[in-house]
Amino acid sequence: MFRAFRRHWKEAVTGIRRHWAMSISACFAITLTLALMSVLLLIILNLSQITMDLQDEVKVFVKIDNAVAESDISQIQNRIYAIDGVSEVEYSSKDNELDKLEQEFGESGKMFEIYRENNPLSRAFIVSVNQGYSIADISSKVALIDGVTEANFGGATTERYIEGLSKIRNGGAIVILALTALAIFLVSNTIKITIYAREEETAIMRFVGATNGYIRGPFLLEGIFLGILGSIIPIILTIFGYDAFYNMMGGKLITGILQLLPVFPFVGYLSGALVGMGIIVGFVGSLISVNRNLRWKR
Amino acid sequence: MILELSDVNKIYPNGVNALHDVNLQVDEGEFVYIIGATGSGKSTLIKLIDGEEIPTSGTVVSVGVNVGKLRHSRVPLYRRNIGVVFQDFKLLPQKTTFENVAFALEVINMSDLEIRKRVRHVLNLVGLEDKAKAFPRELSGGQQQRVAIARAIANKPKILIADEPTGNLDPDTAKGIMELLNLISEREGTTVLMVTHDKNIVEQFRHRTIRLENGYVVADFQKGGYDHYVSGV
Ligand SMILES: Nc1ncnc2c1ncn2[C@@H]1O[C@H](COP(=O)(O)OP(=O)(O)OP(=O)(O)O)[C@@H](O)[C@H]1O
Ligand SMILES: [Mg+2]
Repeated sequence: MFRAFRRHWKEAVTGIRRHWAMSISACFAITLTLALMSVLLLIILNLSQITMDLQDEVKVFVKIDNAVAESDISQIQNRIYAIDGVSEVEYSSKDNELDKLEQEFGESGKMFEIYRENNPLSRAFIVSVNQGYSIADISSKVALIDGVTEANFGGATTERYIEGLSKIRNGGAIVILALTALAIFLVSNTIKITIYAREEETAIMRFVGATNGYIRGPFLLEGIFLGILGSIIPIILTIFGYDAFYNMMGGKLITGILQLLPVFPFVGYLSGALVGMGIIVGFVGSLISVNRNLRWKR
Repeated sequence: MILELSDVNKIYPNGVNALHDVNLQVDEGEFVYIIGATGSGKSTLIKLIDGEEIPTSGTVVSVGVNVGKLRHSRVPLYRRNIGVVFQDFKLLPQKTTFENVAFALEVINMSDLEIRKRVRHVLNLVGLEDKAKAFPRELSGGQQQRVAIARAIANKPKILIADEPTGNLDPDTAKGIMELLNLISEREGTTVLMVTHDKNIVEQFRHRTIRLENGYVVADFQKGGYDHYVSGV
């Protein structure tokens, strides 16, 4: 195994050196692709994070009348459940509401502890709504239920935001797929040149008993090597670029309430993904070429 | 018996019927010439034996393998039993003599140490131990063919197949190559199948001779020689 790998490696490097101009252009194509991909991934992943943050807002916050007996709570819960479009009804006790309040205020939240004994907050339901249902409608229906004092929601614009963001995400994913296909195509073209240049050699290899797998080896390695080489610059750009962007924005987006993903370990995962993409693109591109162009003579 | 062709026909996709009902048996260690006019099917016969072509009908059984039935992926494994020599040598120009021979052993995953031993042995056998570091362009035609022969026998094949190995060489050089092939046949016990056009060679180094004409085996003469059966059979 290792012996074959060493020999393949030698051939792969020779291949790249022999067609360095072509190899560099393929590398460059991968670099561009991965750099673009990195930017798109940064956007998409941050949007996902933001969407999740926003999704928390697309919930109806229901205050329960203090007069309602503890035993009647579940009855109200069932009533809310019965409303068309409600996916989840989560109960939150007075204590729990106080905890949440303290958490929101962070360090200084402790000051609310004095209310623990005589809690002025209401018990509450947090109602999640299925996609496609109007949160405003559901909210007003909930408000009509006996024992409910108030029903609030984050606002209809939030819903539209989320829809918009998911469109951007899907669009980005499509662009990434297209870029991947393009990079694979470019790699396969480069490897094709190598295959032509080594046509004679592979013919002789077959005559002296080299298996198909053995003949493929150097070409696949060459593709993978190009992929890894092509991912280096995008990774460096990603790490320093995102770090700079994050610091410039102070970790927040324009509106100030939306958090960007912290630099570490995020860029680490992203770098891993980029190398992975480079390897996949190189391998697949080369495999396509090998399978198509080494139309092995017997 | 190391090689047996039974009722072999070969029709190429373009309709050319290159071989008709060929029946042929070769014993281990034999040295066999295949002669015939151009287009008579000599190379086709060789290609059926080395697995490049598949018979249209009939069977080719070589070293116990039904060559025509081999899956594509198994062909290389079969080839490890045979050595092939071409008229145009087919050496890799960017590799030295040593590397050209070693290459054939690398691809079958032999260890470096064994490769060095084996390459030295065969280069010695073909008389090129002092040219190990030379590139093909620095060698004469005869020397290049010796390298090609060394490569073909490096893996100790049971059968050595040569399609006009002396076709590009002058008579003296050709004679040297023939002496080498005879040496390999005798010393290593390798079965040799050689296509040739060269009347002098067939006369001078007598071996069993098979003559093809328009795809038919028209003569199979055990004692060899070119003229005997041109009129004879
Ligand atoms: N790949 C092929 N496709 C179609 N026809 C072929 C192919 N190879 C050979 N032929 C035809 O088959 C016949 C026999 O060819 P072959 O090469 O076996 O002859 P040969 O005896 O080796 O001739 P030469 O002495 O010129 O090398 C010829 O008519 C040739 O045109
Ligand atoms: Mg021929």
